Amino acid sequence: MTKLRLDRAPAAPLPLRFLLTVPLWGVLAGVLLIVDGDVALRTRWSPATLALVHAFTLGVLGNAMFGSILQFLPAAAGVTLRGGERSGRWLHGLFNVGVLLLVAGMHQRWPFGLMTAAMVLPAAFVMLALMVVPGLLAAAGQRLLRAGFGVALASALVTAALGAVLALGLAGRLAVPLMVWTDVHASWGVLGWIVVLLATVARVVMPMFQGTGSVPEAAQATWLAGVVAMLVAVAGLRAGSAVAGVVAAPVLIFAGAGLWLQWRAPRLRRGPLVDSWRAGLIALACAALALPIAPGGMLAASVGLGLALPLLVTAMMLEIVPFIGWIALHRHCGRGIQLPGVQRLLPEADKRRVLLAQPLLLSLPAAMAWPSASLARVAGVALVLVWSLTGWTLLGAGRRARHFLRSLEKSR
Amino acid sequence: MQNNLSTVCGVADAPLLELDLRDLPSPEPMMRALAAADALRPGQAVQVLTPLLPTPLLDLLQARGWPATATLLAGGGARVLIRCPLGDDEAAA
Ligand code: HEM
Repeated sequence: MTKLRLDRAPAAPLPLRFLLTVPLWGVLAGVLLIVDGDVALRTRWSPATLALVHAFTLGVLGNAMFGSILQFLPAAAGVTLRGGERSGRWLHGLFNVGVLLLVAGMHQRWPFGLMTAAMVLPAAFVMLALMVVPGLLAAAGQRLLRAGFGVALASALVTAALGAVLALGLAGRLAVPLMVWTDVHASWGVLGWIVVLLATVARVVMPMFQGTGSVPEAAQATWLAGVVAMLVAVAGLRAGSAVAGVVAAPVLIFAGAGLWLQWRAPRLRRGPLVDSWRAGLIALACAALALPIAPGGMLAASVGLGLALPLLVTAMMLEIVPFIGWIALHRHCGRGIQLPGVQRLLPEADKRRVLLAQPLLLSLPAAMAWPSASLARVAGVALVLVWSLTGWTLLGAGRRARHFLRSLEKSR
Repeated sequence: MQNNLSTVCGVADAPLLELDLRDLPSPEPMMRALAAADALRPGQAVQVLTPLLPTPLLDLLQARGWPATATLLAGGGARVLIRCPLGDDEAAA
């Protein structure tokens, strides 16, 4: 048993800063699609496609991953974060400025944007690692959880470093065989960073929030080791079309295991979170199946990066954000005041509304399957609508907290 | 759903309560632990068993200047001992 130090717990607003930035990037992705139309959906290599992919992978999913790490690691693994609130604010600024530069650089083939992003974004990932890794190494217990975070962070660093090389290649500053290394970069980013992190967090939060059983330690450890072996093989072989199958298999296993756990749950907590995860995991399984089948991986990317993974993180954000708001309210009010419960800050009906809006996003794979400018713009509008609703709903927790404080002042 | 409230031993002149919140769905453990802490009078203590290390709770208690110690349990979860300091005016009020 280990006594823990309690003097370096994270200040609440830092993860919130990242999480509330997520919907802004979702809206921006929609705007990009409205502006570019089907140009962004016809080929992997067009500037518009690359910009859209990174609005999702870094803007939407990256901010969600950064926020979750900063919120979850101290709580679940007793990891003390380095750097505190001020470094966190810098990290948020650095990361999001970097993503803006990269997306603009890709979209406009703007060498300055690409080259600056090639320095700023790896620096942001290194900074995240510096904030997290010393505590990760020093913490006690929860070895598998910490190993999962370790693999995810290492993958993120590899992805960012490769991304920087590719960005310099795109800017014409380095001669790089772009296609081959893009597959390696994309595999490490999507599988090693995003899916590993999600699976690591899911093993802890699914039982707690959804009432499922948890994946046996040996099974999760084997899956994690398999992922690492596959990623190393992908980098070593750089074997073009084989990469798709290699990446799809562990994603399919993760999605299947999650669905199986929900199906076999002893006390499943029915509600928007469980339904969103069910829908998200089914969509993720479809994306994994489509990856080796549909040519070019575009359909898989539209379902996986545009719909499935964002839905999984959105559902978790709808739980975490009101919780952080509730803690902040407690801090503000002190004791002796009857505060509204977490559920009152963000009611289940509001979360369900976000879930019910998700089918609009099916227009994205539809626009991929039947490319036309108008269908692509419909998908863009759908993205703007769904992410605006998500943002409005998340901010609702803050609105209700402020309303409570105002009525408290009046009653005094 | 398990929610054991048992008297474990005495601290000063008040008994030490233990609240097992490990089987409750999130965010109930945090809400109940905080409610139990808020119900303490100066000098009293409560021990809560939580499914994870409740960092936000510890953070909040620390901001109030309340002593709290957390111990990770071998099978997962944590045991947290929360004390309301003797001179806590708000509690006394
Ligand atoms: C860490 C999360 C990241 C993920 C998940 C990710 C994902 C991807 C994916 C899926 C592709 C393939 C796009 C396609 O086929 O259309 C790609 C390409 C690319 N990424 Fe990333 N990326 C990440 C970070 C970065 C960073 C930090 C940079 C730059 C600093 C970057 C630069 C690039 C470039 C330049 C390409 C395209 C290269 C080419 O045209 O061949 N990426 N990325």
